[in-house]
Amino acid sequence: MNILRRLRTLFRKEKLETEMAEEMRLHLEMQAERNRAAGMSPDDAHYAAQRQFGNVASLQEQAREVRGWVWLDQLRQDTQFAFRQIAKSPGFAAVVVLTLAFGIAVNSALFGMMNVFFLQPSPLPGADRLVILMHRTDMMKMPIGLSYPDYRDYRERLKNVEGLIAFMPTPAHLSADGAAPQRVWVEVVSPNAFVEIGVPAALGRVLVPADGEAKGAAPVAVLAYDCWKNHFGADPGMLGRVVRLNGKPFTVVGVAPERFHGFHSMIAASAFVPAGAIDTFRPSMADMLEWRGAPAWRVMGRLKPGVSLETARAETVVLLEHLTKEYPDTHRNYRSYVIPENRARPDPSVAEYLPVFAALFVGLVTLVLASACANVANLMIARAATRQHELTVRAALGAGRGRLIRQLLVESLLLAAIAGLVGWLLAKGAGWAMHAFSPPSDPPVVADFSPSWRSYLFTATISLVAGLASGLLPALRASRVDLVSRLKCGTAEAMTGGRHRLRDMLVIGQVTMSLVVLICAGLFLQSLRRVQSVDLGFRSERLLMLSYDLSLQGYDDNRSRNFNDDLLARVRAIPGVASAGLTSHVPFDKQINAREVRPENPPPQLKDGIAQAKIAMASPGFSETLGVRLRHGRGLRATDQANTPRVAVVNVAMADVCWPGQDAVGKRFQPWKDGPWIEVVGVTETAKYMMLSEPPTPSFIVPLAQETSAPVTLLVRTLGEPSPLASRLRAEVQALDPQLPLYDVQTMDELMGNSVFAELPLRMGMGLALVQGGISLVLAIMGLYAVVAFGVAQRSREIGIRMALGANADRVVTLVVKEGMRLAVLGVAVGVVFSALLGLGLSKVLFGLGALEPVIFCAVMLLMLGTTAVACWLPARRAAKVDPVIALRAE
Amino acid sequence: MAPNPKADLLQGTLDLLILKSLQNEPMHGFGIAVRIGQMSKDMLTVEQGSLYPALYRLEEQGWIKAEWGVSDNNRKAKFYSLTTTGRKQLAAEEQSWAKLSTAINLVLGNA
Repeated sequence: MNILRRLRTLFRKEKLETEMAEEMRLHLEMQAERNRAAGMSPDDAHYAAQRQFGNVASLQEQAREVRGWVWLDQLRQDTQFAFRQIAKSPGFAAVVVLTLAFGIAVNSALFGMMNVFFLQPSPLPGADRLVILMHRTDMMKMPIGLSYPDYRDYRERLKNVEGLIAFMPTPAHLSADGAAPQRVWVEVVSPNAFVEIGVPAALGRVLVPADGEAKGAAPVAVLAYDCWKNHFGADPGMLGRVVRLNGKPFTVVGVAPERFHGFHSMIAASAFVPAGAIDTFRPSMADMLEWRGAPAWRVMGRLKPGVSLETARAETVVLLEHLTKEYPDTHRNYRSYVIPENRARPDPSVAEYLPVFAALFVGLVTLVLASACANVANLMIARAATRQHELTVRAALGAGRGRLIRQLLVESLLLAAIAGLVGWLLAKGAGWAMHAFSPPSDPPVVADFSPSWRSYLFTATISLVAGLASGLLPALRASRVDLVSRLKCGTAEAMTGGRHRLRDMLVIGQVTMSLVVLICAGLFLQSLRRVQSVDLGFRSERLLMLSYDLSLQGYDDNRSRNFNDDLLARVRAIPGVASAGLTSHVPFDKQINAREVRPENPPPQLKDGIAQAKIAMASPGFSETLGVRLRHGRGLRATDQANTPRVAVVNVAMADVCWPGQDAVGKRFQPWKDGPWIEVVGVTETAKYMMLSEPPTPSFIVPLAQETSAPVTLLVRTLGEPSPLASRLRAEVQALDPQLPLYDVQTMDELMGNSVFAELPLRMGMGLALVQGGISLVLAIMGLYAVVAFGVAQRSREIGIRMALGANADRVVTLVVKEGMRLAVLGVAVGVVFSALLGLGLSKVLFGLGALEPVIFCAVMLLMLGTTAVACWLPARRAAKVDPVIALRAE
Repeated sequence: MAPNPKADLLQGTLDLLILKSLQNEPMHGFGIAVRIGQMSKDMLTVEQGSLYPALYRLEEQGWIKAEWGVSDNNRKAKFYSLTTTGRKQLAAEEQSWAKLSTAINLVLGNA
C-alpha cells in the first residue's frame, strides 16, 4: 500500500509541490496576523513569523525527501548533467566509448556463437528433452551415426526414449520444369519424423509413417519453406507438382513451416524425402535401409517424462550389447553415446571438441574486456584530476559523498551504455559481413539473424559490468574531496599518496595485461607457424580444387568414367596447369571413408587380422598432383582399369601396420570381409588427412576406374597463382555439361585456412589477441606517459631546486625515467608470471607449442620495455627543459 | 545535511504530539502548532515549519489524511484529520510512551 501511495505521489508531484508552497505561505500569513494582533508592526510581524517557522527552503527539501522519489529526481539531474559533460569533451567520450565498445563487441560476438551452439533451445517442440543417439568405435576418432536397422531396433526396444526418428542430410541436385539443377541438401528422414517431433505443415501435408520406410515407397517430398519461397516463388501451385531430385521425379506434397530448417541443428535443408523413397532418390544408397554396416543415420528422440539422461544411457548400453551379440561383424567394439540435443551442435560428431575451444575463447575475450576496463578506469582517474574544482564546489554546496559518487557513476554508466550499443552494432555488423562475404558453404548453414533476448540481455549486462568496473574506483577516488585544503589551494596540489598509488597500480595493471595479451598473440602466431610448417606429407601451395557430383546428375558408371577422363584431358591441356587429378577425398575434407581391411597373412599383433584404414578413390596423376612422395613401387596408372587386376597404393602407416618390416609392394589385402583381393603396387609417404595433430593414419587409394565414387574433387596444381584459373576450370566443366552444379571451388591453402581442424581457430585467436594487444599496448603507453608527465608537472619545483643546486639535465631525465620504468618493469614482471601460466595451459591445447617459448616471451618483453622506456623518456626530456627560475617562482 | 540526533528524538515524539492534537477534530498546520503550545502550557515550542515534513510523513503512512477547506477566519487551509489506522496508532503510541516513561522513572527513581 505504501508503494501505491508513493507512486501516486510521483504522478501528482507538481500539484503537491504547489500545494505545499501554498500551505506554508498560508501558515506564515496566519502567524504574521497573530503577531500583528499581538502588537508588532507589519514588517516585524512578517519577519518574526518567518523566524518562528524556520528555513522554508530546507523544510521543503525535507518534505520532498519524506515524500520519496527524490533519488529519481536526482537521477534525472545526474543523467542530464552526464550528457552535458559528454558533449563538452567529445574526444574523451569517444576514446572511452571506442575502447569499451571493442571489448563489448568481442564478448557479444562470442556470446552470439555460444548462444547458437549451447544455449539457444532448438526450435523443435519439446527441445529440452531431445537427445541424440550415436555410436562410438575405435575405427573413427569421432562418434558415428546408426544404421537404419539398428535405428529400428532402438525404436522398438528402447523404453526410456520415445519418438525416435532417423534423418540423413545428403546433397542432391534439385531442378524443376527443366531448369538447370542446383546443388542443395536434402534430409532423408524416417517417415515418422515430422509427426513424432511435432512439426506441422505450412502448406499441404508433412510426411507420415504411411509414406513408408521400406524400399519402393512412392517418391514424395516436402519442401522447406525457404526453398519454396526462393526457388519456386512461394507458388501455392507447387502442391502436387513434380520436381526432379537427382533427375528423378518427386511429387511435392507439402511445405514445411517457415522457421523449420530441418532436423539437423545447423544444416539448412531444402527438402525432405521419406526413407522408403531412397532407392528412387539415390539408387546407390538403396542398401542404406537394410544394411547394418552403414552407420549413416542421425538418430534423435525424446526422453520420456521423468526419465534422466543417465537412465536412458544405461538402457542404450544394454541394448547395444544385445545388438553386438546378434551382429558381431557390424558392431565390433561399438560403444553407445547419448547426448542432449543442445550438446550436439554444430554436429554430434564434432560437438565434444567445442567446449575446449569455447573455454579458450571465453578466457581471451574476458581478458580483452578486463583490459579495456582497466584502460578506461585509468583514463577516468586522470580526467577526474581536472575536475577537482567542480567537485569541490559541489561538495561545498552540500552534496554528500554518496551524491558525488552517484553522479560520477551515472557518467560512467552512460558512456558504458553508449559503448554497449556501439559494441553490439559492431558485433552484429561483423557477423553479417562475415556471412555476406564468405562463399556459400557446403552444406549450407542455418543463419538465423533474428535477435535473441539472450543476446540483448548479455550485452546489456556486460555493458553494465564494464561501466561499473571502469567507473567505480575512479568515482570513489574522485569523491573523496577534502574541502578545506582544496578550496584554499585552488589548483591541483596536496595530493595524498593514496591517489598516486591507485594510478600507479592501474598503469602496472595495464602493462601486465598488454604483456599477457601480446604474448598470447605471439603464442598463437607461433602455433600457426608450426602448423603451417608441419610436414603435411603433400605440397599444399598452388593447389586449386573444385567438386562435383555426377551421381546426382543421373550419370551411370560408364558415363561418369568418360566424363572424368574427358575432363582430365581437357584440364591437363590448359596452359598454366602443371598437373591434374581426381579424387573422392582431399585432405581436410569434410568427410572421410574408412574400411576394415584384412591383409593376407596378417602379423600376429594385428587384432583379429583387421586394420582400419582410410580409403580414397583417385584417378592416375592424383598423388603426383597432390605432391605425395612415392617411396617404393609405382603410382596409379591409366592402365588400371575395371577389367585389370585390382590394385592399390598404400601409405607407409598402413604398410607398417599390415606388413611390418616387409616391403608392402606385391602384398595383398581385402578391403572388407570376403571382399576382392587387392594388390599393393606402391607405397607413399604418410600425409595428414583430417587433422594436423593426428597420428600417422593408415590410408590407401584405389583407382576410380575400379571403384567408382561420386562426388569427386578435381585437383589441379598450377604453375602460377591458382585463383585466376578457377573460371577457366569452370568453363571446361561447363563445356562438357553446362548444367552440372559445381561447389567448393577453392585453393588448398584456403581450405586449410578455413578449416576448424587446421588453421581457423589459430587465426581467429591470433587476430583477436593481436588487435586487443595492440590497443592495450597503446593505452598502457598513454597511461604511463600521463602518469610520468603528471609526476613531472607535480615536481617541477623539486626539479627546479635540483637543477639550481647543480644537477644537470641528464640526471633529471634519468631520475624521472627510472621512476616511470619502475612501474613498467613491475608490470612486465607480474605479466611474465601470468603469461607463463597461460603458456602452460595453451601448450596443452594448441598444436606445436612447448611449455615455455622463450623467443616469444623475450620478444614481447623487449617490445614492452622498449615502448615504455620511450613513454617515460618523452616527458622526462620536458622535465630537463624546466627553467629552474620559473619553477621556483611558480606556486 | 546530516540529521541532527536531537531532532530525531523529537521526530518520534512530534508524531505522537501531532496525532494527539488531531484526536478530537481536524486542524490545519498552524492550528496544530498553536494547539501543541496550548496543551503543553507553552513548555513545548516546536519550530513551526518542522511540523510539515512530519505531517507529510504521517500522511504517507496513512495515519492522517488531508483536505483543503476554509478556516474559521475564512482563510483557505489544508485540514488534517486522523484515519482509523491513525487512531489505532495513536492509542498504541500512547501506550508505549507510558511504558517508556514509567521505565525511565523507575530507573531515575532508583538511581
